[in-house]
Amino acid sequence: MTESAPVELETCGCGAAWLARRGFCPLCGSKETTVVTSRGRGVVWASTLVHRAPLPSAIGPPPYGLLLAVLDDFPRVRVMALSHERLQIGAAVSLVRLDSERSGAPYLATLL
Amino acid sequence: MKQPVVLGVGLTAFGRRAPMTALDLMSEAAAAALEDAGVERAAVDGLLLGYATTLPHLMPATLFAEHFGLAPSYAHGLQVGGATGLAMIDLARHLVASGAVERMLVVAGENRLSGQSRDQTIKTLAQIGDPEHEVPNGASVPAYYALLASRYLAETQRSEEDLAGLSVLMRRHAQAYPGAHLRKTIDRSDVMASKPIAEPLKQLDCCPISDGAAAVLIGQRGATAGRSVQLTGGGQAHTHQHISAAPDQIAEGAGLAAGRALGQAGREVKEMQVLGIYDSFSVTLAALLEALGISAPGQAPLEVEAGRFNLDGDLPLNPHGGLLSYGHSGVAGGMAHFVEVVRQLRGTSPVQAARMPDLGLVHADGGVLSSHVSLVLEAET
Repeated sequence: MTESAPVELETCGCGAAWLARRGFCPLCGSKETTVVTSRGRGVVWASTLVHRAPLPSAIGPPPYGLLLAVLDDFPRVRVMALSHERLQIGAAVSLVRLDSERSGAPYLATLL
Repeated sequence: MKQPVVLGVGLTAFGRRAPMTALDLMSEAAAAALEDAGVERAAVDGLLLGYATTLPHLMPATLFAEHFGLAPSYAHGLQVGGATGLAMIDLARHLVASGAVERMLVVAGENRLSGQSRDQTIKTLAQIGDPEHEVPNGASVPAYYALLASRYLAETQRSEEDLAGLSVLMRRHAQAYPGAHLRKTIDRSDVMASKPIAEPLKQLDCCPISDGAAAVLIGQRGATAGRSVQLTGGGQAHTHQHISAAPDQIAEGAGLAAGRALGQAGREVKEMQVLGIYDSFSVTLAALLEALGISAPGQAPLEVEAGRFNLDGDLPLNPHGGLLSYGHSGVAGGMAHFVEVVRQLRGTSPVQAARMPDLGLVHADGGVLSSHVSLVLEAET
């Protein structure tokens, strides 16, 4: 695994934004989409501490935190991210991709 | 249009059933459903089969038809996670009503407990998550539902002890039910003291992994002896696949599906007299009861405590013990609720409700409250 990298999204001129790239807009159907970088700030929307898992996570074996965060700059997008502890709903976090060489997860959230 | 009715039901014992294979378990349930209906194999012209994680196959219905000895004129598999069983029954209802099929056998079962390791099952089930943006975080089905539970507790101000009450109710019901996987008495302190899985969910908030199977025969009205059970309404809703893309009210698909089913039946939810509601986790059951409009937001755990859902309460819920205690063998686990509500409406359950019900609602979800199917059942009085 290499250094961390920003959260990337795909957006459409109609206002839609989403994580999983598909080359078209799932809201209006347009093929004119753009890949953008989020500022990586968000608020925790749901949160757990995982105690049992079949495999270790990217930040180590259980227990590890897992949460959904709503991005400040794309408030319709929720990012699922790891955290080193269980964070409270409503907490402000910064979000990064943990592996710059691959798109998507694992993501890491840390308290701001 | 022909009125679809339930001709027969079959449900095996759940738990550790080694050396039974998936096909063995399916055959046991199918034979029980045909015997219950008094129907021979040759009279079955339709077959729908639920997926089995221990028997992945390109042609599951054909595979089972050959094994069990059927030569149907209509057959295929189907998969929408935990909602698969009710989705198959919903389809059977349409095909019988249209006249395309006379007698549709719906079958599901697998040796999910003894046929593979727990870790393998957890890894397979985790694949309902987004393969690029969720699963590589180390996510699993208990973790997805733990995220739901954190939302539920934050929105309703209920406590983990409140949720534990739903597990306790399911265990109490399973104790008197032949074939239930888990029967040891538990109370809320046992749930609270059980091993943490993904906070706030503990082991006894989670259903077990079981071996088992279920089968249902759907056909035309007038073909059964005894008290007939009609399928008067069905509805579905598919709001999202991944929890990261769920509506803000994650369980809202349940209300949409039930609204469609009740509308078709010309009924209201308050008329229901027995319930079979999917309960993969304690929080699933609370969230669904509330999204279905059976309980007001945050009230389901309090109504459990007040006895509303007991066998002698005004709305008996999962009298067989649900997924949380009768057990969960995949698609068959979600069909067991249907089988039990049919038994209640016919008056043939081993734990009959204090008041004989005439109207029942069955509901299941697949994914993370992603796919929903509701069915309305009515006893012909």
